[in-house]
Amino acid sequence: MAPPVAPQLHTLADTDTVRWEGKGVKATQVGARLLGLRQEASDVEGFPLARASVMNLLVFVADASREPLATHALDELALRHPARGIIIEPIPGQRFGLDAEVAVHRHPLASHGLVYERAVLRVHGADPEGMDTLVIPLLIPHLQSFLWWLGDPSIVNPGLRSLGRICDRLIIDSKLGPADRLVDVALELGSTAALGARADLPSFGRLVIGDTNWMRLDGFRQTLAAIFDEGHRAEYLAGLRSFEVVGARGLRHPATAAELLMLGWVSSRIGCSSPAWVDGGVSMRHDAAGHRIHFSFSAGGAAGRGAVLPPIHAIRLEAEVGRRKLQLELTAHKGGGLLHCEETGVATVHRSVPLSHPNETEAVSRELARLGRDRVYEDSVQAAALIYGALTS
Amino acid sequence: MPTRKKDAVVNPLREGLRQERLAAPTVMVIFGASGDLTRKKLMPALYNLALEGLLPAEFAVVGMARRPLTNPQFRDQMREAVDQYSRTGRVNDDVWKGFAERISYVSGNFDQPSSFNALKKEIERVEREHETAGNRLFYCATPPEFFIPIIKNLGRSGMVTRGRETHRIVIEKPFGRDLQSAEALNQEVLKVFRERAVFRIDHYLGKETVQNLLVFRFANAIFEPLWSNRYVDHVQITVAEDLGLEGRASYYDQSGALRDIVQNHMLQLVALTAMEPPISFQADSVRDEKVKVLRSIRAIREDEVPRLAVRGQYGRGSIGGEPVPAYREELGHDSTTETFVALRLDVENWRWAGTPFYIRAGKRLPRRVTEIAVQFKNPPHQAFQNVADSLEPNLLVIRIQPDEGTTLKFTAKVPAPGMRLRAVNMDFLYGASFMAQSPEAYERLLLDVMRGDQTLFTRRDEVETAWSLLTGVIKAWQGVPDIPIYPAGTWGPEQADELMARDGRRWRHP
Repeated sequence: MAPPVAPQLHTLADTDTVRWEGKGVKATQVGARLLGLRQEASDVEGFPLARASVMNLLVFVADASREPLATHALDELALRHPARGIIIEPIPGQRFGLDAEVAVHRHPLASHGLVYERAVLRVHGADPEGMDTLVIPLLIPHLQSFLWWLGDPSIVNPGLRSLGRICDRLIIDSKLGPADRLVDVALELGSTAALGARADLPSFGRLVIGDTNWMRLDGFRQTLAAIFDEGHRAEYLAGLRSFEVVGARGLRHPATAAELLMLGWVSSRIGCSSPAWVDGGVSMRHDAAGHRIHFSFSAGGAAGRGAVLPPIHAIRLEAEVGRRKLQLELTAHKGGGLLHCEETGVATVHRSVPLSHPNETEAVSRELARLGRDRVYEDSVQAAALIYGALTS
Repeated sequence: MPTRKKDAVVNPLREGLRQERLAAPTVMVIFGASGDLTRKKLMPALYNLALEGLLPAEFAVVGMARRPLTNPQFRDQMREAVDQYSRTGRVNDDVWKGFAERISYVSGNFDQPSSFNALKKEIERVEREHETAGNRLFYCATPPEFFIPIIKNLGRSGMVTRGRETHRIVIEKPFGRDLQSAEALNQEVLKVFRERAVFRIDHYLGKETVQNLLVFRFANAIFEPLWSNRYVDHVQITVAEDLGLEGRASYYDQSGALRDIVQNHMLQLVALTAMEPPISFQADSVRDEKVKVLRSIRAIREDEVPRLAVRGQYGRGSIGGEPVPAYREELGHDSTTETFVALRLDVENWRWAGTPFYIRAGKRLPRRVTEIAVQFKNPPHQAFQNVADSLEPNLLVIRIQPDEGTTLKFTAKVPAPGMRLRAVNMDFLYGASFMAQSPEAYERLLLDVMRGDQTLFTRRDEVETAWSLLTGVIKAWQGVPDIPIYPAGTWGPEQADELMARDGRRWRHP
């Protein structure tokens, strides 16, 4: 199975690190220490190391339990996306106070000394609306700033809006909130599109939004697209009659954001509109062909025993072109996928197919590699919001 | 909504995905399957594509060579080769098992039609067993003298045509020995295959850093306005190897640096450096621009060779402190084959008129380096009169290998009282910003062949134009017994320095 990003050449064990920490400090002190540590870190000849950062990467962790994930991911990401990483962890309290840990890492095998920096800011009694002022002194100027929001992705959260104002990219994880958060994202994207050319656009309007939950679907999307690349199978997409997403969840749990995104993706790619509630899902009109397609949700068991579980267990679809019929099932299975396909006039296919399930770092890494807007994601979110609306109306 | 583009139905699910369209089901036939190229490059590249899930499920390899081998023997040899040469290290047993099942071998002579009958039977068997849907890809990984016999026998055996189309063929360099032989080879190839099915491979074009040259020039606004005779004094392109013959003696002595490196790799680098922006990155748009700029280069006439071209052959010397023998000693006999070439090329078009391109390639030079150095003109007025001697021209160096990256040299004030200036470097290193393994050139190129994308392959007119530029040099050097000898471990013969000195310039020592 493909490693979606080329493997790292070296591990973190290869790096040297210098650190500093302080309690009850000011943001400007943290910035000064970052500079000081970089000057202390030098190569074998004693020259200060060149900084190779390509971005500021802000990570908001809603609670302390997510800090290890953020720290680990930042360290792993550093070799692919050298960055100044700033982890922001709010701690409830009455009085404002800032505790900080700063580390500068060098990589001895990078000929001119790759340096990446990580600051962890634990903010007591933080004013969410003023979160940006805490971070601004720490940003490397003229670099793109990414905000990875590891918490409920409520677009109206004042902390998210505050940090979003100073960033170029926002990466949410729609898995960390209820499915209806996609509706907020869709509204935000809609308003962004509508206001796109205005000179007085609020800074938040320029923000490009990505979603690690969307990246977790990348393997399913890639494999499904590859299946329809084969032969003349793409013709069946105009004759799609039903499409079912089997979520990797218990029967009692509602459809997840990932399932909505998957249906949003397929329905927007083939051109569907006018969703209406039907038992088990929605029915949508295929705009070009005129017929209606049944999009449905169901629940399945946990998918395989791989280290990383995909957010959906399987997809099933049926399509017709003239007298020819296609029935297809793609199931997550043992770290890969299993394809079962019955097609009129063609021998039944039952085989393993590549189906990657990116882990947390990989999902973020893929989002960081994208600088422009992901129009397909945006279309899918808009369609998912429509489907959600039809389901709950 | 799926839409039709000519005959193909466009798959709307493909839009926006990182991975482009998968390669079509294919049986790949490798001629020269027991040779070095197959072991060191092709098989490791195919294995890595399999490892990364980039090969279609319906894919198979049929190797053909003279050596008598059974399928298991051939598979074992290929496994050893992948273990030894793959960038991803030793093989993954599971991946290899699935991959090896799809490898088979046919023993035969490339000039005997009966061998191709046996090959045809084996291909048909493999197609049935692995459902490769009739797509065939022929890869000529043989010495060049076998290209025409293979192509003729493929034509005779009826294995090539598919309806009104032909299957694909990949032809390794050298594509001919001169213009005449390249034209003859093209004629033979095109009697059997259509041009859009012919992939003339130059693996340099598969290198990430060579492709980045296009990105560097055409995706950045700040360099292109300076990229002309108005600001550029001259361009130096160096392809230097520290190695000697390394087991390629018989091939290299027939070929020499001019045919082995200059006609293909170096002229490709010149074309990519000097070409105009293509209207798109479709195969023919890029290749049209490359051909245009190659046609703009003034071919060196025979009588101009003493002034515009230098050749040399390495004598004894030392590399990295170790003594190394002379070329003729390595070879074991006398030879006038050039192991070093330097040329001055003039691109006679609006953008480059008056800005020469100096190119050099050689073996047993002090270090292995491939780079393009763009030297800019000095400022038109020198305000720092009393320190003018310490000023160095701005220089942009694009390093193709090793230490891939870009360096911009500019002048800065030395922090001290008074006005002292010094040249400083601004470095971009691929290794520092992208600490990930790049795919091997052959991985990218094989995938492109299977997808039918010819962008990184040379077209008939491109190959012939490149040869036509060197016809005068080939003729001038033919049969001339005197060849300058340079000590191994130096930057070539003195005549190469004189070539630059005549124009008031000098070579960089990268």
